[in-house]
Amino acid sequence: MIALLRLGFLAGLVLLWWIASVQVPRGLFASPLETMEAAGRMLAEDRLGAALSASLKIYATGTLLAAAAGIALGAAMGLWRPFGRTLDIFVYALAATPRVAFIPLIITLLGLGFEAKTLIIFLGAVMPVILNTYTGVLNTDRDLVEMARATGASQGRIFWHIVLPGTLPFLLTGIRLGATIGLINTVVAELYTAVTGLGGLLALYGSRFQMAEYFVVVLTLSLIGVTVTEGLRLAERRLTRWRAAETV
Amino acid sequence: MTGTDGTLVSLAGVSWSFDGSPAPVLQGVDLTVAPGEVVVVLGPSGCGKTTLLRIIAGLLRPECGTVRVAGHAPVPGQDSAIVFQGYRLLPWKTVAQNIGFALHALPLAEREARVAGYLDLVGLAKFAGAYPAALSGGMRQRVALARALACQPRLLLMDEPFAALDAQSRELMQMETMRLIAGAEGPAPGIVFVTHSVDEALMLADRIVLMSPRPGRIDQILPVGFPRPRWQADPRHAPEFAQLRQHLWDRLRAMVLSDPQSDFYGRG
Ligand SMILES: Nc1ncnc2c1ncn2[C@@H]1O[C@H](COP(=O)(O)OP(=O)(O)O)[C@@H](O)[C@H]1O
Ligand SMILES: [Mg+2]
Repeated sequence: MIALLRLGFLAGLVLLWWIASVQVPRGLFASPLETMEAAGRMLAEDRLGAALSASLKIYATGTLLAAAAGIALGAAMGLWRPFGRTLDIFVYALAATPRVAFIPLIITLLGLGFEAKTLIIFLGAVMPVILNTYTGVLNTDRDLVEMARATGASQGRIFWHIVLPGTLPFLLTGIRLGATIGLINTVVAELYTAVTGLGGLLALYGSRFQMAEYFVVVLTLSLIGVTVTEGLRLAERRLTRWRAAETV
Repeated sequence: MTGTDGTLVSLAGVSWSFDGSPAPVLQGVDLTVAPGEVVVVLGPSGCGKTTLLRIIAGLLRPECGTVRVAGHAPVPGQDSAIVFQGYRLLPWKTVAQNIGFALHALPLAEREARVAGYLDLVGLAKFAGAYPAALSGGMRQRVALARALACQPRLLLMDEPFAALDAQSRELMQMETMRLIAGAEGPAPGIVFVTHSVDEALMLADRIVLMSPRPGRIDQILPVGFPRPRWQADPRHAPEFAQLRQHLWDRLRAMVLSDPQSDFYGRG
């Protein structure tokens, strides 16, 4: 039922798009049909595929590194309190700084290539992972830890069976937020460093007023975003099934 | 393997206070528990009952005084198991995994057999794969009990285990719990049962340890002479029972009325 309504809403959006494209002077806007045709051309000439794989490569590298580093740092900060308390205000400060501000510095240090792009993505994606993991570990249920201690459980056992599962919902939310920011930063990186990938195509078609091609790129980016966040949401639901256990 | 004098638990001159707090939570507590005995610790809330259980379990080390469980200083998980107030089940583990949590030292096959046995005992075999979120309060209570019993402890520590249940479930669970403990294999464990309910204390105890608050001290230790279990031949109408009940209530009322931190201070 909901799926049907959503499909209806999508159809409505496409209709609006079409109406808008008829109203606006030609050349400033592309109709749904023109966009479809452009997509066909770009796929056939492999322009879209090449850009997509270039973008996905830096996006996946930056985001996966951010997830790994963010979990490790956030967990260390939560488990070892003096470390966490020393570091947390700096992490909050860095998270509050617009990280695009670092782009000129990154370019000076790393140039315009793969490393620079990956670092820009990494810096965007890592913050929510650190902060959510940290919060999750700090929110560990002390009563459950005491219960485990009363059974003679070791520190390692307490970490694996109590702290980590309790942190998991926070951590997965952090990764989902990080993946969203990572995608934004992918485009930012491709616009500000060597112009490549989907970001590069946006700049190219935007400046040439090739609106149909431009729309194809925008839709591709939105498709990546939706696929990744929905995939992570699904993983979240599976890994935290115990929360939703229905009452008998 | 009890103490040299045959006691299971012995506390002598035990005191404890929170870091930096001048007022001790417990002061000069002396207590013994014999193997298989049910000792109920009764006192108003805040008098240090939970702290006392933590000390007996080895989760806290007393500042002064000695604690012996089965002849040595207590080590968490070694001789005792706790049924906590509020169940404390792991929400991300199934009922079977929760019961097996304390048994990780056992070989897998033995652990599974043990878990299955205690699931049967508490009548939850059908729910082995369910998560705690799917269970009622009474069922969670039984899982917590099975988890503690599955360790086959010589000493069972219970901290207001029925406080969250309504009056009727509470009485049924008292009955059921004592039946289950008696029905488990091996010799009956010694039990230290904490409550603030006079009636619960009277139904369960071989001896009642009455505690007074601020600082937590033992006020009186009273033997309860009625044969256990007390549900078949309900002793509640015996005059001695009513007398004991009245006496406990009078003491508790006096404590609460003279405690400056209680809501009822000076209202006598
Ligand atoms: N973290 C703490 N810091 C300082 N005092 C505490 C803390 N936790 C409990 N207390 C105090 O210790 C006393 C005993 O607590 P507790 O053993 O839990 O009592 P009971 O189980 O009898 O209700 C209470 O008066 C309480 O105010
Ligand atoms: Mg308590």
